[in-house]
Amino acid sequence: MKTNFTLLKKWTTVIIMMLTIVYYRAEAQTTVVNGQCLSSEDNSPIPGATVLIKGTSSGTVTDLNGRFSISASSNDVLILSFIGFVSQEVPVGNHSVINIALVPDVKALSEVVVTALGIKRDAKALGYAISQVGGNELATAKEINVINSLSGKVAGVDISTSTAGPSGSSRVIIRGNSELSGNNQPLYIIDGVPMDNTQAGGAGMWGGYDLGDGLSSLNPDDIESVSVLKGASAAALYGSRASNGVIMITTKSGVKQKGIGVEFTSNYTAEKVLSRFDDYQKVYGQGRDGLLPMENNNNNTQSAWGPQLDPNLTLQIYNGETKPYGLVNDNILSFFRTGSTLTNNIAFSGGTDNATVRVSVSDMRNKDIVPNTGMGRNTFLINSSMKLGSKITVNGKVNYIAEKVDNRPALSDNPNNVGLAIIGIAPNFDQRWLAEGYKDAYGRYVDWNGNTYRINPYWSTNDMTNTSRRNRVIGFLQMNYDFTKWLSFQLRGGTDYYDFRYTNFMPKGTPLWETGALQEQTNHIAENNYEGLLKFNKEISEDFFLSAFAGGNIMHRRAEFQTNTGSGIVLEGIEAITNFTTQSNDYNLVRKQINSLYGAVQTGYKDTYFLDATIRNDWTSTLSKGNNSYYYPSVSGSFVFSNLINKNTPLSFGKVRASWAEVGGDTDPYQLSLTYGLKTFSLLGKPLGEIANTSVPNLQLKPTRTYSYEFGTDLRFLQNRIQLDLTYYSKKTTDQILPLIIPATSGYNTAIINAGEITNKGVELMLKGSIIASPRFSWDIIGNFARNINQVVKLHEQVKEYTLANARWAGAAVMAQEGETFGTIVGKKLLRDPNGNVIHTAAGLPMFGSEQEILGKGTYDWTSGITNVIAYKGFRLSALVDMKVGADVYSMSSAIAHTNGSSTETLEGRAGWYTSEEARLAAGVSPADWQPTGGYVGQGVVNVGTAENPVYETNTAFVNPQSYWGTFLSNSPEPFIYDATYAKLRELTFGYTFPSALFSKTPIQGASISFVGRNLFILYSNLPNIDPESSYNNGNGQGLEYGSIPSRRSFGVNFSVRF
Amino acid sequence: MKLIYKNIRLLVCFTLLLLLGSCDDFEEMNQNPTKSTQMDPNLMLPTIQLQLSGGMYEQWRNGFIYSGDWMQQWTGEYATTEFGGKGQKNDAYMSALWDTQYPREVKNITDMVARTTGDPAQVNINAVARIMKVYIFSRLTDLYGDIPYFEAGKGYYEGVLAPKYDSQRDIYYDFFTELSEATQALNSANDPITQDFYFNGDITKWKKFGNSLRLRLAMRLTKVEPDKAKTEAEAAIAGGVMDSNNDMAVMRHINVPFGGDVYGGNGTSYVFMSTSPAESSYRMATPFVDYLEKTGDPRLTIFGRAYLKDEARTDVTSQVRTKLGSYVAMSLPVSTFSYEATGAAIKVDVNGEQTDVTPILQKLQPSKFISAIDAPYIIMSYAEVELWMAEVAARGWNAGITAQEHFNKALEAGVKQMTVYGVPEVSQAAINTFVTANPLVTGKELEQINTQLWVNFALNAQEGYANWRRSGFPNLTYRNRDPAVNQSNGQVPRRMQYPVNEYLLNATNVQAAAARIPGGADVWTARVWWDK
Repeated sequence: MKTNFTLLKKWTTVIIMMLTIVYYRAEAQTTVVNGQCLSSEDNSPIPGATVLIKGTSSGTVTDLNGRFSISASSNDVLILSFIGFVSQEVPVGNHSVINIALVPDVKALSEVVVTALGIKRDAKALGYAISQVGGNELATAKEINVINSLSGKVAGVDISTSTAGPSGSSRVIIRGNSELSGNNQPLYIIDGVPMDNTQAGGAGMWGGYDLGDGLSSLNPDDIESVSVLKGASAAALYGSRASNGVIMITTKSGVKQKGIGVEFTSNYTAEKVLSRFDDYQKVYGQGRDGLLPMENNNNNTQSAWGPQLDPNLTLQIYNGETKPYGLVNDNILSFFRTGSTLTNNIAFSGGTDNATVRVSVSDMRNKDIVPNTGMGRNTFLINSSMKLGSKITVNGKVNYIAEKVDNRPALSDNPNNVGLAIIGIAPNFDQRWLAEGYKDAYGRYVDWNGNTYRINPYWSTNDMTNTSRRNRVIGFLQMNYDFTKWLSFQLRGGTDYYDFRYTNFMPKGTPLWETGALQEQTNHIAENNYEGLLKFNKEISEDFFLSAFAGGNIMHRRAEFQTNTGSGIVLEGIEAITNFTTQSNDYNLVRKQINSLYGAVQTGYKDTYFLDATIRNDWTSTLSKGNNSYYYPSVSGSFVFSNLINKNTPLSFGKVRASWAEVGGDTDPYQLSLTYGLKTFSLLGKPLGEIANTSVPNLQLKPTRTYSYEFGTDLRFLQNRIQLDLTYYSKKTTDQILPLIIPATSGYNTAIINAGEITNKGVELMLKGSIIASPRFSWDIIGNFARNINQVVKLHEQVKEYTLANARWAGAAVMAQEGETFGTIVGKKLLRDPNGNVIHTAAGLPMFGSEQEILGKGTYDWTSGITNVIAYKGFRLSALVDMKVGADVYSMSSAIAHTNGSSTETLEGRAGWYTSEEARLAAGVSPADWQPTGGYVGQGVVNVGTAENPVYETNTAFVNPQSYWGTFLSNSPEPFIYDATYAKLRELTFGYTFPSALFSKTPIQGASISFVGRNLFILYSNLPNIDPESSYNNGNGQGLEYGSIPSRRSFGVNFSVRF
Repeated sequence: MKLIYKNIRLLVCFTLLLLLGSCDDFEEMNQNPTKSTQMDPNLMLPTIQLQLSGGMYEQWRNGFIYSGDWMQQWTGEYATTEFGGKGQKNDAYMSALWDTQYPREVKNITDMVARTTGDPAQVNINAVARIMKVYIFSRLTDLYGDIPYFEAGKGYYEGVLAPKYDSQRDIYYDFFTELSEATQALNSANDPITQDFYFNGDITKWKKFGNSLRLRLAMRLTKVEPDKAKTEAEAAIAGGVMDSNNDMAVMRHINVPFGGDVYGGNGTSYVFMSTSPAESSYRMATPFVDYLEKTGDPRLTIFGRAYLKDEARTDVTSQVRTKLGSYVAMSLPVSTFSYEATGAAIKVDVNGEQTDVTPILQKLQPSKFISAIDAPYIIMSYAEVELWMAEVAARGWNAGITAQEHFNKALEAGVKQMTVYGVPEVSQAAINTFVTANPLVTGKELEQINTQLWVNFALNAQEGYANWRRSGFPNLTYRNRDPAVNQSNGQVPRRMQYPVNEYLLNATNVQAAAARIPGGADVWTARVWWDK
């Protein structure tokens, strides 16, 4: 009993002592500390150095005289740092003046970047370009799909989105397109583990839905940094999937910190239509040939070739009601609503010397501008690390993501694409009328335009429903064992597993699916990676550094796809596959494994000369024996020449670098042999067998190869106030494994072959300048520029063209053609005389060539982003202008607007033609015998000679403008190919960080508020009505636009507080 | 230190074990578990049979929009009038049949023939495949002229990625060889045809179908090589052709909407009912109704009826007929948009209620029988065969009995065959009246026979178009409703142009074929070989 009492007393003492400490801490004196920061070399003041209170983010920067002033407690520790100098920590104690001399860092520019396999490297040692973006740059002005926030921020990374909006996928292209058949997109590595970014589905020329990609699963608030490995050398260790570059995302992990380690962030934005519908004529209403539609005829709701608008006229619309025939303003915009996105995130983190942990939970809910469309996402992340004894460290991460998207918008030519329905409506027809009586008393669909391929948008958004859910787990377990200080072993198992379920319901009465239909798609996708890595890391002598590692990886991917479709609903309202009379079932299992061994050596001499080399060998399951093992090397080096020159020049740092790499690649499974299968349904009890391949299989496939080299320089002047990073690269991909499109007469659509050679060469430039760098006020400009020149050097001896995408109208396509750049837009041209005038028929209609000719290209010549950051005290204003120049787009929305007579260009000649027609009808003459007295006169010539000896005279024939503009949709895309160059105010943030003094009596460690906006203005564009960023998918065939849903701008507020 | 090396050795061994252990599984892993490397060719036959009549787009585009508008039996639908009626080209419409048949039917039939040739255990399925092969290619060559034939569909078997085009003459000559050999090879004692929709595996009927097809193709050559036509026609008849409606080649369909993953419906019906289940977008065209009405053909009201636009498609044919006085008044002029139907709304008695019938609904729509999604599709009818034989006889060649006898049989069979659509039988008396009223008239035999073939092909416009080009009957006047946009010199085009894709992907071969076309250019106003 006595012992116990003693023990209790002992404990009590301890507790009282701890409380005292806490009390003491809380009562610690806050004083103002003044000081000066000098260089130890010459005692010159260092302006712009950072003074930070350790463990917090509160701090200041030194003024032009190197002086600073900061409120700190006596038990705080100040950290003084400046680029090129060794950071110093100084305890405040009871000092009120602290003068510090910083020692220049011989290892100048100790910028640590995350490189392949998660290995942290000093940036100056790298022989290739790598770009790193901090998490806060992505989390403030948030995008639901975090990768979109990179747009314009990294040179050479071209990001585009689809018109599906927030739930849609993104296309990320680094250093140009190099593959014909793959998706050309980079490999994503999240905390060392590859993440599956395949799209569950996209829209094609006949329509479809953008089912999103993997990146939408990531919570922007969890991201610590994003590294972009652009070149093959940077990525060579990741194998073939990395030949298009690697985007490495590191998530936040726990750190030892002051306070209780809670961070709360809340972000709200409103989304509005950004596209402006500025090319719609407001003179003529619905009808054809200038005539008011006949009663009971609603075939022309989307045809604006009627008489002049006149509110005193009336007409009967599809639902039997009589409506005025006057102009309706803002007809398109009124269909869309104001969207909203609310994101809340809370993270707890903390750590001891032996263990750290960070846990975060987020909730995102979005309502899109398309009615009834929205998305929700919850993420849960645990990131932890623990030291077991002195030799073993264990890390683990589990990230669970639950995503749900309601009613993804149908795109392209899908009958329920609301974009197509809405943009085609005649100017007198208020789209709101479509909501009135689109269903009859029995809930059945009422036809509104005589065209089953354009469903009433209210039926599309209210009655047709689709839902998709994705549940995903990304995680890894890692163990490190330190044999000695310089030798360690790492073993890691990582997984990315998700199931995706998509249901698309078409209720009874839906045009084309009259009996009702349901489509269910379930995917189970798992990619597991097991890796072992032996690491050697030693300074052999003071001058010579050597590190090396060798390891192996097993990648196993298993993807199951189950699709059930049903038609003929039995009990209305039950959206279950068992409730349909006819069903079909499809199941597919795709498996693939790659085993790899790899190694790397990195050396450094005197911190000035660096040389790296890597090698990797892969064994893949997708190629046949004899062809399935292949190795590839890389080598890179850098030279920090500024170490060898006089320190007193304006050059503060200078480095040149060069690298060369080869990467081998495999293909998708099951491409080697001819197989047979059954259709997903049987007919009247008979099985339906057929050849399963649509491609001619090929047992002889070889691995594909990418060769690349790059060199560049990193220069910094005037104590780093000006930074320039310049890279030239060249990349060649040969022996591509691709489904070569072959004539259908061969029986197959494609043949799997090794062929093709594509080159990409270009420069990337990053220039950063601190215009003003005073402690209170600073102004930085960061610009980047990338120019890529692509050439399809060679395709195949028999076939010289490869179709990347077909357009819905006028037979246009996006191609890869030998000798041309990747992604040419081709179609029939207008026939022209030697002087370039359009040749017309005697009747006055334009004539067209019979060959497919190049009319444009879907890829940009150069891209650029300019960010201005102005900071004043706690305020920070940042604006990013994003520019892309030199691509073209075939706007089928514009083509339709011309065919429908809703474009302003279609006004010319109407009055004259209608007058002429009135006169003709009054005279009772047939069109063939009538000489029109007015109408549209196509600009150009007419051949009055013979075909052999043409004689061209100016065309003067009057035609019905409706006939003139009606000829293009099935003949030529030429007039509707526009320059897709644009400049956008991509991002604007205006933030304020509250001074920490404000919270000195509260548990709050810091707080900030930002007003954020994304895609606020289109500063420059040549495209009528449509945002130039309006692709309906993220495939390789870019340059087509059709029935786009308007683009969105978003603006709102971001609030964050730490405890 | 020792411990370290021991550990490393262990790890290396472990890694290698993992690698080697899984290398062995690679070949198995790369074999799709849902597909097989072998398949009984019998299982592939029903797929081909379904696809030949179950596809909507090729039926719509090559069938109704072009051939159909020009054959003037059905009109009203938008694209049919806009493109067929105005003579406007559309690449995708012209190439629809080509685009669907080559990578689907041609691929699979080539595989079936390749894998069964020379196998004594697969004699019958080989013969059946060869007959089907001729059927598939005949529809292609008739529409386009010279086409890839001998090298077609051999992307896998012979590695031909860009097949050359063969002359239509060579193709036709090979058709006759194939059909002659296949029909001779067929033998009920050999392997059974297990999954056949057309004849349920009846070898005798396959033999008759093969010979009937040979007869149809022989008659194509009457203009260009009458001697060959005679030889082949007589050989076909001698070999044994269809001799009753029981011998017809009919494909059965099921009622599923188009556009889903299941497409077992009748392609023609999909086209008829593409806009709404309550109303067809097509109407019977005046020349067709006029001819049926003039000849007293009982099939008129089986093909076409007037319906209200309601869910039940309430039949008002007889009420409207009474008000308007004739069936011709219930037809739409050729190459007309349905909304251009003129006239005044009338009131008729429907179940005791006076109901408005607008002009558009007064016109005869394809009947519920022939436009049902699960309506059967007649691949080849006995009536057609009798009509060919009537022409053989009329030309003075040997068809056993006289042209008149064959013609009479054809008319009777033609009416009776409509029962496959579930139509109540027409009384024998009515049939007799119809047959008696339409005897062959001397000097007009070919016109009468071929006009009856035109009626026979009312739901197979492509065949009707081929026979019209050969025979010139019936004598149709192209409306050319908008000369300003017409791209066919105001005439009915004579063929379909080659697909744009061939010019992109198979340029050398298609250009060589185009150069052989009379006039040296791939235009749709030029004629195929047999259409001299």
